[in-house]
Amino acid sequence: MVTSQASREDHARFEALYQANYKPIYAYVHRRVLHSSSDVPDIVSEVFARAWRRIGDLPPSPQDRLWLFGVAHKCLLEHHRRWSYQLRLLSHLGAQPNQVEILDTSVDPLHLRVRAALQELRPFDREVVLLVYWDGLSHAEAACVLGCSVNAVALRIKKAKVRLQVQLDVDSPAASLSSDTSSIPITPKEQLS
Amino acid sequence: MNIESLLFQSDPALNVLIPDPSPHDARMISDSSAVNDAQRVLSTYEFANHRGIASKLNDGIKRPAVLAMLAVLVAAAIVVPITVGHSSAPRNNTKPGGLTPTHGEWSLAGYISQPGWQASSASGPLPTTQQFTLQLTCPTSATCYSSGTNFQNHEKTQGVISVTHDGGANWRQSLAPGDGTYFYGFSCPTVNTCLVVGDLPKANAHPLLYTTTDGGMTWTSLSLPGGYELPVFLSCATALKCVTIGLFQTGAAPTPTSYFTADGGQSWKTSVLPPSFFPSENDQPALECFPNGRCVAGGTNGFGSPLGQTSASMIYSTDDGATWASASVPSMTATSGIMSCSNDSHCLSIESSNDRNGYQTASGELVTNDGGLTWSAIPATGLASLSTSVPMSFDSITCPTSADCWASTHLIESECNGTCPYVPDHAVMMATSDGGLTWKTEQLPLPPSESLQYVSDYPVYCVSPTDCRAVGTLELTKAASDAGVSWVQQDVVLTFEGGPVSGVNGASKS
Repeated sequence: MVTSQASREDHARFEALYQANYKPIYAYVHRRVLHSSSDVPDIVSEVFARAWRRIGDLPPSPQDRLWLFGVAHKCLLEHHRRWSYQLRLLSHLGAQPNQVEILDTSVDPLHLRVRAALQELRPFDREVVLLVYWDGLSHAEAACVLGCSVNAVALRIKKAKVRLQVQLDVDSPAASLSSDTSSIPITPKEQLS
Repeated sequence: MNIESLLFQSDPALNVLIPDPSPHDARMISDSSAVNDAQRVLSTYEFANHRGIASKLNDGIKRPAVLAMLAVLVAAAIVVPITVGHSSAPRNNTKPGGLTPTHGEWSLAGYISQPGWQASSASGPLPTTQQFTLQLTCPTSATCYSSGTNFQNHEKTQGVISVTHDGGANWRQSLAPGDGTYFYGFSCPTVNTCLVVGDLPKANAHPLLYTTTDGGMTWTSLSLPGGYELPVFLSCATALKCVTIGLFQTGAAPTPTSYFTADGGQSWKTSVLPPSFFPSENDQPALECFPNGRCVAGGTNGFGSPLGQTSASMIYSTDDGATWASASVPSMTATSGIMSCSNDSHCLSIESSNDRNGYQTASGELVTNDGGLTWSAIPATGLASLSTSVPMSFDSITCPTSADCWASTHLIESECNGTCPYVPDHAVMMATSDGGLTWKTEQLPLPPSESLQYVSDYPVYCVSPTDCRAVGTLELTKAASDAGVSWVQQDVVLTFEGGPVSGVNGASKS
């Protein structure tokens, strides 16, 4: 039995991990399975079941939180593959896939537009934006979860925001640029040693 | 309302009552989570039922699906031990191409000097700081500048420029603003002159142009024109003539725009890019300018379709970036590209597009021999990962001649094994000596410890076909990580010396 083999410290660590990260992981999963939100608890429990099985391999805090996000990412990929298969099967049988969440009347229409615009982003760009703006990860943490460079995260967020601004036609915080093509004199601002 | 506020407020999790975690639930998982997948699925399903949250919408599908999966997993548990002797090759054989020794050899040159680093760390752990090196440029064989990101922890991330003047044996940190600045466009036209675009990753931050004219001893920051813009490309043909291409806000719509200077960044003029051209988004800028006024840049057509795929777009200038024209380019799916020019006539670009998970893998190769006016698609043998489950992504390319190029890549292994993010992605150095028709994997020297391996990103720069540098990162291997070795990451410098690699399928010249 696994339980009898596991140390009391492992159980204590797992419970602490579960308590500290259940809500962030639940929210992370919920944000990405809007089409089948009833599956969220299943996926979340799968994430923590994997964490328990590899409790001995978990990095120390706070890295273990990022590790959980990585596991959740993998669990979601598997869920989407299964769900995609189910959709195809339903479609083959003549059923209509469930897309009710996008028409949820309880949600601000503007926010629905934002979510729709997010769906138009490239998959990797969308994931970067979600990790930073919805899951609250720093650029470095998002890079760690996604296995890319911090620079790539920052650049993709910038580009994604530009694209979202265009699609949503919202004001940019940027100052407008003069169309004047004459020389623009620049004064040195700072001398670094 | 700005886009940041909209993003925060549109979070669907804000409208959901997330249940509080219960110690009882945690104990249920740890008590019932079994060692094999079949038992795991069952316990997970039971756990969901316990919470009263088993699916409602898909009840007609889920229970049979779970039972079917259970049956499959049980069957797999029986079959796999029987067939394991005929399983596919181990993961470490998934690298593209064969590991054929080359005529030249890569060697460890030294380590970037950082506070807390010691020479003895070459034999293994542990540096006290970590630096991801993203760009590398070497005006001469002796002098190289590297641009990267250093983070001791997640709150102190900062861009760093390091420099060596002895061929990579000794490095020193040259510029680190310390305010969270990231570095983008990066160009060093002479031994003593280097220019880099720095930007703070927050709204309304105005990018700065950092310049040095004394080999990295001191840096001066200059303003760049415009407002909230990001010049992602920078290329300086000389110490005075530079061109930027970036995302610029012109009125209501963001427009990729170019600026050029003839006085080392003291003043800039605006130039207009061809419609729909959008600069590539790699760490290595796809822009090169030459003293005769020729500039070549690579990117894509527009922002891309909803499915995330666009086509390659190349542009060129003959007047130091004052005016630009679209090149003749064959249709090629691309979301980004990395480009290197061996001279003002010849450039090679490896185009990449999104795979099913959004990772960028090679989609083709473009070459020009007339200064960027016309591009041709060439066969890209060897650029694809040998394993479809392990995507290979390209980080940088350098072409010291029209025949010889090196490209640094990494295998995204974290995608397929479920242990992300603590399975590092293997870095792979690839080379061609036939102008990009065929690529092969380079043999890299053994890391200083068996516990370490080369991981992404790994920018490479060749001054000549016999003289290259690459700066990258060593991280723990999966085996070392599983064995409980403390997490470690350190930079390493590789020096390539010897004759060019050659031939089809990695056959060496001799």
